[in-house]
Formats: sequence, structure tokens, C-alpha cells
Amino acid sequence: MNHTIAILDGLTIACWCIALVGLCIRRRNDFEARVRLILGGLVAFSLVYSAIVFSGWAGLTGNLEHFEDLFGVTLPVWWAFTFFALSHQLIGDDLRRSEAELTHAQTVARMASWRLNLANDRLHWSDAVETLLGAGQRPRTRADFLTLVHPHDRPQLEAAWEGALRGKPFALDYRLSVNDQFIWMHEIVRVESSASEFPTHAMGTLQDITESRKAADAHAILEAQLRQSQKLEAIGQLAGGVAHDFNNILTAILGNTEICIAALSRQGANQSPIIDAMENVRKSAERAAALTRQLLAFSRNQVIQPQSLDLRRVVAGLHELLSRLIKENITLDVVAAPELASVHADANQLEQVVLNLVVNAADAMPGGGRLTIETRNVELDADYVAMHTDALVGPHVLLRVSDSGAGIPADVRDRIFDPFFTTKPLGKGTGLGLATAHGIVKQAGGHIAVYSEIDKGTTFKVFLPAQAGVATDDPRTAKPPAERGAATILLAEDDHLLRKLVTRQLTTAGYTVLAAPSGAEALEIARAHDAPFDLLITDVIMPEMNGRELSEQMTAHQPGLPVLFVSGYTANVISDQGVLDAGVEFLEKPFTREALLARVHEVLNRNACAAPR
Amino acid sequence: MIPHDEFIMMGVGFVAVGIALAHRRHLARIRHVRLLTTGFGVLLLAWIATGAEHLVLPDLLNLVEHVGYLLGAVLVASWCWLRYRSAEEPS
Repeated sequence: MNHTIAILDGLTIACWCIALVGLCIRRRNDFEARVRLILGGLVAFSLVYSAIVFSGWAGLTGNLEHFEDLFGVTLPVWWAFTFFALSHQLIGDDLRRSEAELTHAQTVARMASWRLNLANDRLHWSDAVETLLGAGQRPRTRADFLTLVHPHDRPQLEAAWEGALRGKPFALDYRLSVNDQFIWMHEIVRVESSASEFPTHAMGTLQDITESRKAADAHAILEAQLRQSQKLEAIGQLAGGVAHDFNNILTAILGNTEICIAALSRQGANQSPIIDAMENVRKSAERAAALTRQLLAFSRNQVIQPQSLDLRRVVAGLHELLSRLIKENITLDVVAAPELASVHADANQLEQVVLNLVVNAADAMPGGGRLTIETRNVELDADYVAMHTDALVGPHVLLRVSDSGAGIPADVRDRIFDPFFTTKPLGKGTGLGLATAHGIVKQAGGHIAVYSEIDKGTTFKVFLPAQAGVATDDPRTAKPPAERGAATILLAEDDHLLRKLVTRQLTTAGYTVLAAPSGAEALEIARAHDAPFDLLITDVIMPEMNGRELSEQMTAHQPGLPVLFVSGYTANVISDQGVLDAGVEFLEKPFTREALLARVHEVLNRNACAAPR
Repeated sequence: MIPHDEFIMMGVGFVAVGIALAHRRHLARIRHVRLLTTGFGVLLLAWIATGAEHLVLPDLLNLVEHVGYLLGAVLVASWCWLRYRSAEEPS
């Protein structure tokens, strides 16, 4: 039995020793002095007890039961006190570590916490405050702190503070002077009251939110750009839809007016007031057609034929016209880069952009000034693109049009690309110039930006994607004169008036025309007709079967049949984003008799040259 | 008859229990505190057994006393091990 007891005691001593050694090794550097003393005493005490147990077990001593029990009882009590003392110290360690972690977390989050004793106006800050406000910056009173607040934000903070003293906690953003510059802070404040509801102290947190404010501002700009873009897109769709029907009507008006004028002229009524009236109708219709074209350009629905262009040549080609457009008191400077990349765009459209921007700039300087047109290569980087949703990274050609005019107020700047928005007097502007320029630039895959300062001037920057390769010459050449023809033409046009008009225009020029109100009927006529047709003229947008579908079926029926599409709005049936598909012959509505005959003649001639001999 | 020194030590043990109870909220913040309190409880049981062995079942209660010392030592050593291991982990 004694042996069993001795073994148990030996194991007990071994366990204590393991715990003791572990403690001494792990915590040797940070034990308090009193704990070290207790541990040292405990080691000595345990060794004596071990010696007694060992001597009794080995039979070296005889009657040691009394001492053994005394030590056996005393030893655990010593251990209990030791661990109590150790635990006490460990709690202190945990608290210190928590405080260090809190300070670290606040430093990382760029924030600090504070506590204000309302009785003596003493501020107590967390250690992270110096990271936030700068080394040595630790305001001791609330009054000291308020001197750091931006003067414009101080009244707002004071009002919120008064509310907090009445029991309304607040969260507020304001600017604080730190290292001679203002940074944005977010403060949360709560006032604690005594049992008698008398405010005793306040506590709060202060966080640097400068970066998130910048990000939020950038986000707001992007959101506004997106809203503007969506608004323009919606208006564009509406404009495109209206333009389709409107162009049909205009074609009929223009065509019939021409017929009337021609008939009256043949009757020798050249001085007739009816002819003057008809001329006025024609001019009005042409103005309406120009307006519709602008609407289509704005809505990026205009059919274009882009090519590699040198922007310097486009500007140079317009120089004479621009000089006539602007008043003499405006100095026009053209700064062209010695080397400029080419751009892939429609020449007519680019001219339109330059003209619109120049006219706009000239109108901004009624008292004269300086107007500068500059072209150069630029590289748009990711930072710029991040701030402008519709811009793309990469090399671009910049067209910059600057004026020294009155500038554009900030509230107007957001709307300048809206169609029909104008600050000009009634009748002086349609409000489509900048909207059209915007649409054209977007259709060309570019980006347009405006910078303006009141009384200093405005700069429009048009960025067009740069293209590798050399610019081609402007292919716009004079149309061949209309001639009388003898070809047989199949015409498909769903608009009754237009169908009648085109038939008349072609037959009076000597052509044989078979007209159909739809694609299906055109096919029936083709099947019933013995001889092949020389040309198919078809409207693009027709119910049930559109022009492309009709042309595909017709060319399957009669391979090699030339097709001339006519439309005021193609809805991408024969084009991709307004860019005409390769090999497609197209005539834009509204058109005059001469334009129609010239185009028919051109297509027939081209086909005759291409046909195998 | 219980020797007076064993009475005194038992009394000291109960005083320690009283102090621990008075600081129980404080002690509750110690990690793995159950091991520590159970270890101390077992030691207290051993002291009671060593006093009681003079009245009844001397051999059995003497064995209980020494087994109690061993269990208490094992539990406190385990607490020591776990406490310092978790102290090294990031909290």
C-alpha cells in the first residue's frame, strides 16, 4: 500500500514539475517578481517533499508519515495560490494584448476613439489618434479639437453636438485640418448621462474617410455619365423610329414638288407664284430632311461608309468654309501635329463634327476671341478610362476645339449633348449640333469630353481610336450625271405614295418599272415575269419581309441581280451599327429625282462592267 | 482524532475556495478555466479525505487523498499546457 501511495505521489510530483518547467520556459521573460518568488519557493518545497517520499519508499527513513502528510497537504495549497497569482497576471496580459490589438485595428482603419469628461472638458484619446491627426496631435479639450474643424463645417458639427447633449446621438462627415490640409472625417458621437439624466461624459469615434469620399465622388460622376448615356440612347431610339416614317413622307413631298415644278416650268409658268410656293415647299422639305439626318446622326443610326482618314486633311478641307462661317473678330488657329495617326470614320460625319464644334465655339464668342483647332496623337490610359465610362484605353487621335468665350455653367454642362437643348435665342439654334457631334463620335467608337471655365472659355476634346496604316484619299467624287435608261427595274416599296412617286421618276427617265407593295408580291411578280430584271430597288424596312430577305430570295432566283436598297432608317438590317455591309448599294431617303437616277445609273453601270463578257 | 495541522490546511483550502468564489467573474475570463477549477476541486477533496482518514476507512481515504493529489496535478498541468498553447495563437 505504501508503495502504491509513493508511486502516486511520485507521479504527482512529476506532473507538477512538468507544469512548472513549462511555465518557466514559456513565460520566463514576463513573470512578475512575486510570481518568480512563489515559483522558486514552490520548486524548493516540491524537492523536499520528493526527497521525503523517496526516502520513505526506499526504506531509508522509518517514521516519516507525519511529515509526508504535512507536506502532502501543504503542497497543493501552495500550488493553488501560485496558479491564482499566475492567472491574475495572465488576465492583465490579455487586457494589454487586447488594447494593443485595438490600437492596431484603429490604426489600420484610420480611426481613433475618444472620451470627453463633460465636467472638466477633458478629452481622452485612444493611442491611434496620433496616426490619424499626426504626431503630437492630441487635443486636450473639445475647444482645442474644434479649432481643427473646417470653418464651413463647424456650425453643422456644433448643431449636432447640441442635439447629442439633448440625447440624440449623431454621425456626421466633416473636414478636419491635418498636417496643413483638410481631410474628411466620419464621426459618431453618443453622450452618456447620469441616473438623474444629467450629461456626464461623451464618447465617440473618428474615422478618416477621405479615400472613400473620393471613391464615392468618382462613383457619382460615373453614375451621372451612365444616366446621361442611357438617356441619349433612349432618345436616339425614338429619333430613329420617327426618322424612318418621316423620311418616307419627306421623299414623297420632295419628289412630288419636283414634279410640280418641272410640269409648271414646261408650261412656261416660270414666274408663277405657284412655282415660288412650290420652291418654298421644296426648301422646307430639304431643311426637314437635314434635321432628320442630324437626328439620325445623333442617334447613331445614320448609315455611314467609314474609311481610313487623316483628320488634318478633313480640317484643312474645311478651313475656307470655317473662315467664312466665323466672324472677323474671331482669330482661327489650326495646330496640326506633324505626324498624325489615321482614324476609321466617315468623312462627311467628321466634317459635320468639326463644323458643329466650330459653330458652337464661334457662337460662344459674340464679342470676338480666339478659336483653336488642334489635332494630335494621344494615349488614353486606364486612369482616364476609369473616370470616363465610354472611353477606351489605347492610342487615339485628338481633335481639340477651344474657344476663349464665356464658358459653360456647370448646370448647363450636363445637358449640352441633349438633343434640342440650346441656350441660344429662339430660332438661332436647333439644339442638335452638339448632340449630333456626340452621336457621330460615339458611332465612330470615340469619346467626346468637354472642359469649361466661366469667362475663360471652353474646350471640346474628341478622341477617335487611332488606326494603323495610311489614310486613304477621300473617295467622295461627283456623282455621274443622270441619264435616260432602258433597263427593267423591280421596285418593292410598302409606302403607297412613295412607290407611286419612284415609279413615275424612273419611268419618265425611260426605265420599265414593275412595282410591288411588299416583298412577297415582288417575288410573285418576278416569278411571273418572263425576262430577267436588270435591277431590284427595295425599301429596307417593310412588314413581313424586309429588303435584305427579299434581295436574298431574288438573287437566289436570279443570280447576279444588282440590288439598290433605299431607306431613311436601316435598323441595322443592311448595316452593323450604322456601318454599311460590304458590297451593299444604298440610297438614303429622302432623295431627289436626280439623286435616284444617278444612283440607279451608277449601280447598273457597275454591274454591266462586272458582268462576264 | 484529526491532527490540528490538517485542520489548518483544510481551513486554508476553504479560504482559497472563498477567495476564488469572490473573484469568480474575474477568474471566468481565464481560458480553459474549468480544468483549473476542477483540478482545485479535486485537491480540496483530497484534503477532506486526509482529514477523514483519521475517523473512518483509513486505508481507502489515504488512497483517495493521494489519487486526488495526482488528479489535481494532472488537471492543473493540462490547463497549463492548453493555456500557454492557446496564448501563442493569434486571438
